[in-house]
Amino acid sequence: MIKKIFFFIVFYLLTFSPVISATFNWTLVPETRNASSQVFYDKKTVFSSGKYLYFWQLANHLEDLDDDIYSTITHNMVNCDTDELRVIVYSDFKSPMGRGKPDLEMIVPEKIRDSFIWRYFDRNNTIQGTVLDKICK
Amino acid sequence: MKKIFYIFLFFSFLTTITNAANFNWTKYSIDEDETKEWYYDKKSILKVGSYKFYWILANNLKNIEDDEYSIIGHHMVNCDTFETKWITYTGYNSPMGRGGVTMDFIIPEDMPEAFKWEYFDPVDTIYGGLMDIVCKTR
Repeated sequence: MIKKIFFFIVFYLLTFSPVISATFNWTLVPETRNASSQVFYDKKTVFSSGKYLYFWQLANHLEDLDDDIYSTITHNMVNCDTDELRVIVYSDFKSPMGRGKPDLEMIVPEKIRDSFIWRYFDRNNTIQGTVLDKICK
Repeated sequence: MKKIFYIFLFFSFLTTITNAANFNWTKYSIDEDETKEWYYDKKSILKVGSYKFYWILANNLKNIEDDEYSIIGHHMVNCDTFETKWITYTGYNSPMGRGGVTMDFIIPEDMPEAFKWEYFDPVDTIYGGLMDIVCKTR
Protein backbone atom coordinates (compact mmCIF):
# COMPACT_ATOMS: atom_id res chain seq x y z
CA MET A 1 0.00 0.00 0.00
CA ILE A 2 2.74 2.42 1.05
CA LYS A 3 4.65 1.58 -2.12
CA LYS A 4 1.58 2.33 -4.25
CA ILE A 5 1.07 5.69 -2.55
CA PHE A 6 4.75 6.56 -2.96
CA PHE A 7 4.73 5.84 -6.71
CA PHE A 8 1.44 7.70 -7.08
CA ILE A 9 2.89 10.81 -5.41
CA VAL A 10 6.08 10.68 -7.48
CA PHE A 11 4.04 10.27 -10.67
CA TYR A 12 1.75 13.16 -9.72
CA LEU A 13 4.61 15.52 -8.87
CA LEU A 14 6.52 14.71 -12.04
CA THR A 15 3.43 15.11 -14.18
CA PHE A 16 1.76 18.17 -12.77
CA SER A 17 4.30 20.17 -10.78
CA PRO A 18 4.81 23.53 -12.53
CA VAL A 19 7.98 24.18 -10.54
CA ILE A 20 10.12 22.11 -12.90
CA SER A 21 8.91 23.70 -16.10
CA ALA A 22 9.95 26.89 -17.91
CA THR A 23 6.61 27.15 -19.66
CA PHE A 24 3.63 29.33 -18.88
CA ASN A 25 0.53 28.11 -17.13
CA TRP A 26 -2.10 30.45 -18.59
CA THR A 27 -5.39 31.20 -16.83
CA LEU A 28 -8.14 32.69 -18.97
CA VAL A 29 -9.74 35.87 -17.66
CA PRO A 30 -13.36 34.62 -17.89
CA GLU A 31 -14.77 38.04 -18.75
CA THR A 32 -12.82 37.91 -22.04
CA ARG A 33 -14.13 34.48 -23.11
CA ASN A 34 -16.38 35.94 -25.83
CA ALA A 35 -14.48 39.16 -26.49
CA SER A 36 -12.54 39.99 -29.64
CA SER A 37 -9.33 39.39 -27.68
CA GLN A 38 -9.09 36.62 -25.09
CA VAL A 39 -6.77 37.53 -22.26
CA PHE A 40 -4.81 35.10 -20.08
CA TYR A 41 -2.34 35.64 -17.25
CA ASP A 42 0.11 33.37 -15.44
CA LYS A 43 -1.01 33.22 -11.80
CA LYS A 44 2.15 31.54 -10.56
CA THR A 45 4.42 34.34 -11.71
CA VAL A 46 2.58 37.36 -10.34
CA PHE A 47 5.27 38.86 -8.12
CA SER A 48 5.59 41.91 -5.92
CA SER A 49 8.88 43.81 -5.99
CA GLY A 50 9.13 47.23 -4.37
CA LYS A 51 6.00 49.29 -4.98
CA TYR A 52 4.77 47.31 -7.99
CA LEU A 53 3.35 43.98 -9.07
CA TYR A 54 4.75 42.25 -12.13
CA PHE A 55 2.94 39.65 -14.25
CA TRP A 56 2.97 37.88 -17.63
CA GLN A 57 -0.05 38.25 -19.91
CA LEU A 58 -1.12 36.54 -23.14
CA ALA A 59 -3.69 38.05 -25.50
CA ASN A 60 -5.22 36.03 -28.33
CA HIS A 61 -6.59 38.31 -31.01
CA LEU A 62 -9.63 36.75 -32.65
CA GLU A 63 -10.87 39.64 -34.84
CA ASP A 64 -9.46 42.65 -36.69
CA LEU A 65 -5.96 41.21 -36.91
CA ASP A 66 -3.19 43.74 -37.53
CA ASP A 67 -0.29 42.40 -39.62
CA ASP A 68 -1.47 38.81 -39.04
CA ILE A 69 -0.63 39.08 -35.35
CA TYR A 70 -2.69 36.39 -33.64
CA SER A 71 -1.26 36.71 -30.14
CA THR A 72 0.98 38.79 -27.91
CA ILE A 73 2.86 37.97 -24.71
CA THR A 74 3.80 40.86 -22.44
CA HIS A 75 5.46 41.29 -19.05
CA ASN A 76 3.70 44.12 -17.28
CA MET A 77 4.25 46.20 -14.15
CA VAL A 78 1.24 47.45 -12.22
CA ASN A 79 0.70 50.19 -9.65
CA CYS A 80 -2.30 48.84 -7.74
CA ASP A 81 -2.80 52.15 -5.89
CA THR A 82 -3.48 54.07 -9.09
CA ASP A 83 -4.70 51.27 -11.41
CA GLU A 84 -1.94 52.07 -13.88
CA LEU A 85 0.12 49.67 -15.97
CA ARG A 86 3.27 49.73 -18.09
CA VAL A 87 4.41 47.06 -20.55
CA ILE A 88 8.09 46.12 -20.12
CA VAL A 89 8.55 43.06 -22.36
CA TYR A 90 6.59 42.70 -25.63
CA SER A 91 6.49 39.78 -28.07
CA ASP A 92 3.97 39.20 -30.84
CA PHE A 93 3.26 36.02 -32.78
CA LYS A 94 1.59 34.98 -36.04
CA SER A 95 -0.02 32.02 -34.27
CA PRO A 96 -2.49 31.87 -31.37
CA MET A 97 -1.35 31.21 -27.77
CA GLY A 98 2.15 32.63 -28.35
CA ARG A 99 3.18 29.62 -30.41
CA GLY A 100 6.05 29.60 -32.87
CA LYS A 101 8.79 32.17 -33.16
CA PRO A 102 7.90 35.77 -32.29
CA ASP A 103 7.43 38.16 -35.17
CA LEU A 104 8.63 41.04 -33.01
CA GLU A 105 10.20 40.98 -29.54
CA MET A 106 11.46 43.92 -27.54
CA ILE A 107 12.07 45.52 -24.19
CA VAL A 108 9.74 48.49 -24.47
CA PRO A 109 11.70 51.06 -22.37
CA GLU A 110 14.77 50.25 -24.47
CA LYS A 111 13.27 50.29 -27.97
CA ILE A 112 10.36 52.74 -27.75
CA ARG A 113 10.93 54.88 -24.68
CA ASP A 114 8.03 57.17 -25.57
CA SER A 115 5.61 54.25 -25.20
CA PHE A 116 6.89 53.27 -21.77
CA ILE A 117 4.32 55.34 -19.95
CA TRP A 118 1.81 54.64 -17.20
CA ARG A 119 -1.66 53.99 -18.58
CA TYR A 120 -4.77 54.02 -16.40
CA PHE A 121 -7.36 51.23 -16.78
CA ASP A 122 -10.83 51.35 -15.25
CA ARG A 123 -11.39 48.09 -13.34
CA ASN A 124 -15.08 48.03 -14.26
CA ASN A 125 -15.16 49.23 -17.85
CA THR A 126 -12.05 47.86 -19.57
CA ILE A 127 -10.73 44.37 -20.24
CA GLN A 128 -7.24 45.34 -19.10
CA GLY A 129 -8.81 46.85 -15.98
CA THR A 130 -10.49 43.50 -15.26
CA VAL A 131 -7.09 41.79 -15.49
CA LEU A 132 -5.55 44.45 -13.29
CA ASP A 133 -8.31 43.91 -10.72
CA LYS A 134 -7.53 40.18 -10.56
CA ILE A 135 -3.79 40.80 -10.28
CA CYS A 136 -4.15 43.38 -7.52
CA LYS A 137 -6.61 41.37 -5.35
CA MET B 1 -8.33 3.57 -2.16
CA LYS B 2 -9.89 6.29 -0.04
CA LYS B 3 -6.44 7.04 1.37
CA ILE B 4 -5.04 7.54 -2.13
CA PHE B 5 -7.87 9.92 -2.92
CA TYR B 6 -7.11 12.06 0.18
CA ILE B 7 -3.40 12.05 -0.54
CA PHE B 8 -4.16 13.13 -4.12
CA LEU B 9 -6.36 15.93 -2.77
CA PHE B 10 -3.68 17.02 -0.30
CA PHE B 11 -0.99 17.22 -3.00
CA SER B 12 -3.38 19.01 -5.36
CA PHE B 13 -3.77 21.74 -2.75
CA LEU B 14 -0.04 21.90 -2.15
CA THR B 15 0.80 22.30 -5.82
CA THR B 16 -2.10 24.38 -7.09
CA ILE B 17 -2.73 26.99 -4.41
CA THR B 18 -1.68 30.27 -5.97
CA ASN B 19 1.57 31.75 -4.72
CA ALA B 20 0.84 35.10 -6.30
CA ALA B 21 3.20 37.80 -5.09
CA ASN B 22 5.32 35.34 -3.09
CA PHE B 23 8.76 34.43 -4.32
CA ASN B 24 10.08 31.00 -3.51
CA TRP B 25 13.85 31.50 -3.43
CA THR B 26 16.30 28.69 -4.09
CA LYS B 27 19.82 29.35 -2.86
CA TYR B 28 22.37 29.09 -5.64
CA SER B 29 25.81 30.18 -4.41
CA ILE B 30 28.04 32.78 -2.76
CA ASP B 31 30.55 34.92 -4.68
CA GLU B 32 34.16 33.83 -4.25
CA ASP B 33 34.97 37.00 -2.31
CA GLU B 34 31.91 36.30 -0.14
CA THR B 35 30.35 39.68 -0.84
CA LYS B 36 27.09 38.40 -2.36
CA GLU B 37 24.81 35.44 -1.85
CA TRP B 38 22.65 34.54 -4.89
CA TYR B 39 19.15 33.08 -5.03
CA TYR B 40 16.73 32.50 -7.90
CA ASP B 41 13.07 31.57 -8.19
CA LYS B 42 12.69 28.34 -10.18
CA LYS B 43 9.07 28.87 -11.10
CA SER B 44 9.80 32.34 -12.47
CA ILE B 45 12.03 30.90 -15.23
CA LEU B 46 10.12 31.34 -18.48
CA LYS B 47 11.07 31.15 -22.14
CA VAL B 48 9.61 33.83 -24.39
CA GLY B 49 10.86 33.94 -27.97
CA SER B 50 14.65 34.03 -28.07
CA TYR B 51 15.19 34.63 -24.36
CA LYS B 52 14.62 33.24 -20.91
CA PHE B 53 13.43 35.48 -18.09
CA TYR B 54 13.81 34.90 -14.34
CA TRP B 55 13.79 36.64 -10.95
CA ILE B 56 16.88 36.71 -8.72
CA LEU B 57 17.64 37.82 -5.18
CA ALA B 58 21.12 38.80 -3.97
CA ASN B 59 22.04 39.37 -0.33
CA ASN B 60 24.93 41.78 0.19
CA LEU B 61 27.09 40.13 2.84
CA LYS B 62 30.01 42.59 3.04
CA ASN B 63 30.80 46.20 2.14
CA ILE B 64 27.19 47.29 2.62
CA GLU B 65 26.59 50.64 0.94
CA ASP B 66 23.63 52.98 1.37
CA ASP B 67 22.06 50.54 3.83
CA GLU B 68 21.29 48.14 0.95
CA TYR B 69 21.32 44.58 2.30
CA SER B 70 19.57 42.82 -0.58
CA ILE B 71 18.32 43.32 -4.11
CA ILE B 72 15.61 41.67 -6.19
CA GLY B 73 15.77 41.83 -9.98
CA HIS B 74 14.11 40.51 -13.13
CA HIS B 75 16.77 39.35 -15.58
CA MET B 76 16.85 38.02 -19.14
CA VAL B 77 19.37 35.68 -20.75
CA ASN B 78 20.30 34.74 -24.30
CA CYS B 79 21.14 31.06 -23.81
CA ASP B 80 22.94 30.85 -27.18
CA THR B 81 25.54 33.43 -26.20
CA PHE B 82 25.42 33.31 -22.38
CA GLU B 83 24.73 37.02 -22.24
CA THR B 84 22.35 38.67 -19.81
CA LYS B 85 20.55 41.97 -19.36
CA TRP B 86 19.10 43.08 -16.03
CA ILE B 87 15.66 44.68 -16.38
CA THR B 88 14.47 45.67 -12.89
CA TYR B 89 16.35 46.65 -9.72
CA THR B 90 14.81 46.90 -6.26
CA GLY B 91 17.06 47.40 -3.21
CA TYR B 92 16.02 46.62 0.39
CA ASN B 93 17.44 47.64 3.76
CA SER B 94 17.23 44.08 5.13
CA PRO B 95 18.38 40.70 3.81
CA MET B 96 16.10 38.47 1.67
CA GLY B 97 14.14 41.38 0.16
CA ARG B 98 12.68 42.38 3.52
CA GLY B 99 12.37 45.80 5.15
CA GLY B 100 12.08 49.10 3.36
CA VAL B 101 12.86 49.78 -0.28
CA THR B 102 16.09 51.73 -0.81
CA MET B 103 15.88 51.97 -4.61
CA ASP B 104 13.34 50.82 -7.18
CA PHE B 105 13.80 51.35 -10.89
CA ILE B 106 13.61 49.93 -14.40
CA ILE B 107 17.18 49.75 -15.67
CA PRO B 108 16.54 50.43 -19.42
CA GLU B 109 14.48 53.46 -18.42
CA ASP B 110 16.65 55.04 -15.73
CA MET B 111 20.13 53.71 -16.65
CA PRO B 112 19.97 52.96 -20.39
CA GLU B 113 23.76 52.88 -20.54
CA ALA B 114 23.75 49.94 -18.10
CA PHE B 115 21.16 47.99 -20.08
CA LYS B 116 23.53 46.08 -22.32
CA TRP B 117 24.30 42.45 -23.00
CA GLU B 118 26.96 41.15 -20.66
CA TYR B 119 28.68 37.78 -21.05
CA PHE B 120 29.31 35.52 -18.05
CA ASP B 121 31.34 32.33 -18.36
CA PRO B 122 29.11 29.44 -17.21
CA VAL B 123 32.09 27.61 -15.65
CA ASP B 124 34.35 30.35 -14.34
CA THR B 125 31.83 32.84 -12.92
CA ILE B 126 29.20 32.48 -10.22
CA TYR B 127 26.55 34.38 -12.17
CA GLY B 128 27.35 32.41 -15.35
CA GLY B 129 26.70 29.21 -13.40
CA LEU B 130 23.29 30.56 -12.42
CA MET B 131 22.56 31.37 -16.08
CA ASP B 132 23.56 27.81 -16.95
CA ILE B 133 20.91 26.47 -14.52
CA VAL B 134 18.32 28.84 -15.99
CA CYS B 135 19.19 27.81 -19.55
CA LYS B 136 19.00 24.11 -18.70
CA THR B 137 15.54 24.47 -17.16
CA ARG B 138 13.03 23.18 -19.71
